[in-house]
Amino acid sequence: MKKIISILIIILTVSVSLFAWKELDFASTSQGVIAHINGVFELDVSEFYYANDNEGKGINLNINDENNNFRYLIAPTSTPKSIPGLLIANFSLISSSSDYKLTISHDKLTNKTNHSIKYDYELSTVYSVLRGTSMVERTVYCLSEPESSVLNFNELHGVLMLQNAGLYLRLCNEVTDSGEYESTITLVLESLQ
Amino acid sequence: MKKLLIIVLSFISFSLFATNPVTDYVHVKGYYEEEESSLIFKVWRQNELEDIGRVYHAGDIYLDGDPTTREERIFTWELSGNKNLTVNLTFTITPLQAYSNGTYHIPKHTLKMYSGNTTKTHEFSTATSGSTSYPGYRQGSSGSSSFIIKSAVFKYTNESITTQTPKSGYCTLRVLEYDEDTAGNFDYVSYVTVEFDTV
Repeated sequence: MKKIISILIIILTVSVSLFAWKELDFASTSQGVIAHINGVFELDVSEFYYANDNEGKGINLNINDENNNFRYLIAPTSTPKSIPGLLIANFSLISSSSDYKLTISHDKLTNKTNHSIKYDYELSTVYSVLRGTSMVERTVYCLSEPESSVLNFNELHGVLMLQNAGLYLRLCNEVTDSGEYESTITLVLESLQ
Repeated sequence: MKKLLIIVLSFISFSLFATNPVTDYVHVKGYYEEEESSLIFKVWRQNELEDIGRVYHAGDIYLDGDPTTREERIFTWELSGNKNLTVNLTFTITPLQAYSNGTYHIPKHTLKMYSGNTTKTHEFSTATSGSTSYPGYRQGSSGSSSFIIKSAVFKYTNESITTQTPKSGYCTLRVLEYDEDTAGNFDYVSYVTVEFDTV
């Protein structure tokens, strides 16, 4: 009787182990799907181009300074939101799915010593997407929050790839107060699901 | 049971990933250094476009023909700034005078300053000659002179200027009467001094 019980235990153990191997096979397949999504989802933002210019003070915002090479690029236009200004950063985006939206927003350029002094600026986002077999360039503009630029890609169907999309800055009004200024541009990529 | 657990975990994992947005930032830096205000004054001799810069000498005035009937432009000026500025501007103009052998000769004459729609006039009312080594021609000046004639002073206050909208004008001279003994024998000279500052 003891022998029969021992044999049954061995058979059951082998049976459970075999079953467990099947389970692991299945689990491995499931994990593979998750790994696939993670692997091709990426948002890369370049450094701010002029962060270290002028002894680390960044962009010269004086549009009347004849030594300022960027003064025409950052000067307000007579027709707001019509021409991208000074290229300040690039970003790239890769995803296996286009069911995402990218929201780009920014606060105002704020005087570092007197926070009540703020200047708004137009932030333009210029990017190209593959639609069918051709690249289509798009430009969206926004002032500071609560305005934002929303790049919605779900119409593209399939793999999403943006390379070297550009962020451009142009002042809304002439800066007239001395000091150093800073602003933060926030890029949020989120699923539409 | 294990199979179900793995499916559930997979679903939770995917859901967490799908709902958590990916965020990145670009930090923008800039600065503004106020440009120091500067004024540019130009003056031209008579009607010629000869920029004599900051030399406030209106030039020698030659009185040819019949000066009493002629109003002649003697200098043209322009004041501009590198940004929106409010300025005060003062012209001090000595009487027209000729000098010979220790004697100064000052005719009766009129100066007119034209600027925009405004005309300011100053008349040196009498023709005068005198032996003196130091004729007073500046307001408040003194010395061992036998006669004092104050300079003409033309003031422009709280004038708005920019690089695009300078303040400009010109000055004319009309000689009304000579000292008959010396008329026309000398070169007559007037000196102009310009003072300007921002308000």
